[in-house]
Amino acid sequence: MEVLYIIIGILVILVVAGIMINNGIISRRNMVKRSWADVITYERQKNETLPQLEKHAAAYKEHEAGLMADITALRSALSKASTGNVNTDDLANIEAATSKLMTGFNVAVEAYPDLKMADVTMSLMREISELQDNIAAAISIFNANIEAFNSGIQVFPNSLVNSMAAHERPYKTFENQAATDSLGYTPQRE
Amino acid sequence: MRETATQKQPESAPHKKLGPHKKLGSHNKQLKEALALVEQQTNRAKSDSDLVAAISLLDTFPEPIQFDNRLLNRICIGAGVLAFPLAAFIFHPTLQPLESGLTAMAGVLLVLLINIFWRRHRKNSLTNLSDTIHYKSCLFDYGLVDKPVQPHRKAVELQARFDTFKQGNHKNEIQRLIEGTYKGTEHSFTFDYFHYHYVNMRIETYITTDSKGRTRVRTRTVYDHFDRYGFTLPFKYTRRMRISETRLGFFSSNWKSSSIKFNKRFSVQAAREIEAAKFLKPKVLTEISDAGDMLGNMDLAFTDAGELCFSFDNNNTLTGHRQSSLVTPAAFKQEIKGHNNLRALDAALEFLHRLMKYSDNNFDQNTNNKTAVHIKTGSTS
Repeated sequence: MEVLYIIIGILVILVVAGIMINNGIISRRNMVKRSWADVITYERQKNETLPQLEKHAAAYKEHEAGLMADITALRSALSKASTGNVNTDDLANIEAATSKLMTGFNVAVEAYPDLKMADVTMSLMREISELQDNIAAAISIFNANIEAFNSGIQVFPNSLVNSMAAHERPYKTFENQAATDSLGYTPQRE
Repeated sequence: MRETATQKQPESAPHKKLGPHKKLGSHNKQLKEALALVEQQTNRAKSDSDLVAAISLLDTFPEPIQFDNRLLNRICIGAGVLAFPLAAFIFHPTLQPLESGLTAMAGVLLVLLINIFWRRHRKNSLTNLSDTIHYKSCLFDYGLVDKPVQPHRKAVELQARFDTFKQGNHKNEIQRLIEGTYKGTEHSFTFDYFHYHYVNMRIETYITTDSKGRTRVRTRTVYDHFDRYGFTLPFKYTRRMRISETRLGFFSSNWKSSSIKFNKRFSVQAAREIEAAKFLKPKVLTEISDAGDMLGNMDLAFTDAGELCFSFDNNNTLTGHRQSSLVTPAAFKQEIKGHNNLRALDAALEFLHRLMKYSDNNFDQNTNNKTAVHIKTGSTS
């Protein structure tokens, strides 16, 4: 009889541990989705600065056409990204469009010293700069969450519970292709 | 004068480098008096040049400045040598030769310990005074002012403003308060750096057993001492919020950030969850997490009155890296004249500045010191 109790006890512990591991996997998956939503939300906040940028573009006469085209490209990339669907390719497109627009804007600002010193231009530049910092931090949090999630489904015994219950697949972290290219290095196994 | 004296000493006899004060004991007396004068001037110093003037009082002594331990060594050697015949003479009728030898060895050991202790005491007097001079120089370089406070009264005053100071059930005191100003690229602010000491008293029960095996339950009073360090400053970009590595328990809010790492380490207590969501932007989250990696038991308390108390366990905020000392006055004077870097203080103040930078409204002209920035376009991968 005692042996039966011990077996039942062990089974109960295993089931409870399995439930806890499964809940942990689901909880981390939700955090990945939430941090992804944060990234896209902050990317979309660029939409609030775009009307001001358009207004400025008119002042930078020689650069107006180029800036307008870059703003349109960024708007298009932003509209494609979804908060619900984790797709790092969309994010890469937004970052590329942002990078192109900001490079053009910096060139335009440098060409017109009076406009550069205007309070509204400085505030706009500061706003965009901090927005970019927040996006970078959001991406960093997103990648850290993915790392925690992927480890949470790949280590034993979580991998066993995942194969039996949660059936989750690892997420791909976001990599800034421009930064990777500039480094000229990618981690490789020997 | 120092250089002339040094040149006269032959290099092969380092003990003779002690300068013009050849008589044993006379050099030490003069050095002791000079150090007392340096200490007096250091305590009165108002600037780096005052400190340099204080160090210059040692110019009459040749470098490296040190106490003459020859007399001490001779006395100790004499006492050590005398220990053997003395032990043999005193204990001869009662002790065996081995016991006499051991007694003598113990005597030698005692003399050796006295020698080491006395040398260390002399060396520490130079080191401690060098530390004091360097510390004061750091305060001058950063424009920091030591504010005299009544320890308990100040703690009570801060308790009324911040929950952080509602700790000890036996004793609460502010042991040090230093006032300063930080001028950042976008924000400038005044701050108070504090050292908060509190004591918790508790009654502990323990069991004793006597030689007859009888047990008795006894009680004793135990005093646990704690020290916290940190900054208080005006902070108007969020109110009534606390972010702490200590579990805030029942009163912590249900709001969780999107960062698994942040949530594991910090509890958030906010008047309204929307306030927490607005303030804890991704960049602020990563800044707080990074600061938490460097500090022990970090705590941020934002009050309703627009003040922030940023506290932690680390006591190295005002500890600079001293490279030279009074042993080499010329090098020490150069170090004191230059700018001393307090890396932990710089890191803490830059962190507070970044909290302001990422919480303010960039289009509010009244709140910020505006300066131009170049737009960064890279993102973290």
